[in-house]
Amino acid sequence: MRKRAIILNTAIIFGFVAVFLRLVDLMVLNHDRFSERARIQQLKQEDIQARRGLIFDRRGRELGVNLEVESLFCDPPAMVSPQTAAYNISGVLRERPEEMLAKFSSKGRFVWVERKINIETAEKIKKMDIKGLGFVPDAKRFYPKGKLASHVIGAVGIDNQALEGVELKYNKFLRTPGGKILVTRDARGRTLSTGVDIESKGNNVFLTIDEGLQYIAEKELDNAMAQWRASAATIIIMDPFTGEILAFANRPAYDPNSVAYAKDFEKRNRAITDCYEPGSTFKIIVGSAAIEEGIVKLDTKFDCSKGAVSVGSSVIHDAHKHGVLTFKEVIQKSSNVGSTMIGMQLGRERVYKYAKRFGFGEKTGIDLPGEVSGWIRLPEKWSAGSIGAISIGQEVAVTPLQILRAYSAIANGGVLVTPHVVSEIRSPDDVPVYSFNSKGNKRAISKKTAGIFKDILKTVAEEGGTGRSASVEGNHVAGKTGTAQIIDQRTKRYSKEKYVGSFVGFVPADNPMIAMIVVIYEPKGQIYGGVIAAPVFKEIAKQSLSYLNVPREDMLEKNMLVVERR
Amino acid sequence: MTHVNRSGIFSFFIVPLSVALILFGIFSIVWLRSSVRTAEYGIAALDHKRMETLRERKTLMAEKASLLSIQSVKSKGSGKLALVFPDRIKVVYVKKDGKNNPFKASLEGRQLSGP
Repeated sequence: MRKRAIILNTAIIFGFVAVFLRLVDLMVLNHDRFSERARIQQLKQEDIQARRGLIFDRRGRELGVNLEVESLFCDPPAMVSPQTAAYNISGVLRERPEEMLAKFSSKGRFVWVERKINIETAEKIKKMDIKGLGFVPDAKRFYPKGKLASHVIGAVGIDNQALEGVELKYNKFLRTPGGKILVTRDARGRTLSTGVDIESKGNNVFLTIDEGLQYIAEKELDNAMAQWRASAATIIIMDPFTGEILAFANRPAYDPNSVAYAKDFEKRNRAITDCYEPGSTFKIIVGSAAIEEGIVKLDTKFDCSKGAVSVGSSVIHDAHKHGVLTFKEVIQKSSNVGSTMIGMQLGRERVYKYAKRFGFGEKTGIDLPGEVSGWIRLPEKWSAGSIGAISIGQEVAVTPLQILRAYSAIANGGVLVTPHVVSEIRSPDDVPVYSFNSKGNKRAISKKTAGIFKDILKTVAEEGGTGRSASVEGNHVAGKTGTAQIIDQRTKRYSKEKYVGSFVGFVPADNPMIAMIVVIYEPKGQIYGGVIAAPVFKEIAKQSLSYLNVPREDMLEKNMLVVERR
Repeated sequence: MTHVNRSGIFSFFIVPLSVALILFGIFSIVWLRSSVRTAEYGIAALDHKRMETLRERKTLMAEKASLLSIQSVKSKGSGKLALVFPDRIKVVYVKKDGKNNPFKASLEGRQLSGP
């Protein structure tokens, strides 16, 4: 009996010693190794979902948002029956089974099957429970307004990388680094709460664009394209005092939701990347320079009766003979001969100086990618005929935005503003991180000269002016028509068939709310800016003034009925 | 005279009580840890639900933005509902508290005075 007790005690003691030694092994000697193995089993590294910031218009309407989707991948060696899987999956994804099978037969261990699948489709595939298939949470950029303002907003690629527009220019604000996070999981693979958000959001961008004005501009742009069977067209609407771009549209355009299928010519942001010879809209330079330099008065007369003037070896003609015109009438009737005479009185140095003062030959500084500076030669490189050509808007290359900015200077009293499309950027917690600063504005001409020239531009849209069809009922319009020939790339001479017609102006003329340029490239049937672009200006101005609740100026003189806005 | 055995009382009450307390303590700790773990599972489930709700919210926000686009509103409104965009030539804003007197007329709110 005693012997048995001793054996039992000894066995128990040995047992405890063995357990103790094992514990020492686990907890002291090999602690680090086992703890690392446990960590690997219990912890799982997950991606923090990086989501681009949202894009809003000036009134907080969504223009660029994110959709939660899933991306499907496969591990080909792990698939049991690739043929069956390919047949089943292709039915759901509406793709050819052969293409699916090719992916399922790849050599790698990770092959994308389909990117950015919507949740419903993903659920259908998950229910099939096919071995070797897996899903990764993903985000898809979605532009709810489709084509609207596509050249401003831009687009992103399949991996949400910025490609165009504001998406590209403000990428550093919009994107956010995703990163990794460790989550604890149990033996069944269920994860426990980390207590932190596994989604990282970029900053939200607020544009100066107004969706309503943008819609009006694009609608009328489409109508003009159809009416004149033009090759392209551009409209920009800007606040002339602040440089805020209110609407900005080009045709052809593209849908940023399917940017992969967009053609290069559709993606071209013509308003800032394409130069053209502005024609008569450039007469603002010689006109305002002549007033500023005091070499003309409103009633200074120019003999344009011959309908032509010789400058160097070239002869500049008027479209129609005008007779003797005052300075004011030269601008109102857009006389090439009169403008050339003014240019010759100013001289090449002063014409060049004022062209530069109005920002030509330099980038406007708009916050969109791809802007070009345009082109104007140094005066010493001008030919004998250049003074005449440049005075009427030839031998210079400008962008529509440069022209609009110059006219905005007339509208606001002589200051050259910086056009911009982003007003503010806010963090996801609504804290401002960026706002536009207009410190760089320069004065182009004096307030007095701007005022005088504004009155002249008002006559352009009145009876006898070339832009009569731009006039808006109830408000004065100030502006200028432009018609320019395009260089034929084949002959390297001015084409007799291809023209650019434009109208640029602002309304209401005395208290401008909007400045706008309409440029129509290669219209068919008509060529004059006053015929093809001015009516588009009128339609957009009329609707925009309604949209902005701008009152009529003629309500008192017309004894109109009451009204009060409350 | 009765003799009280103090060590007997100690072993009869204190030892079982101590053992019970120790066991209670151990079970409390286990229960607490288990509750924390259960709560973690609960929070993880709620997190998952929250993410799903946020995902749905994003989809709904995108749908709302599409439906409220001016183009969409116009195409729906101008067809079946025969609505038109306001034209400032046709729109008249009438003063609310104007009583029955004639108004002074203006389209510009700030220029107005009462009847």
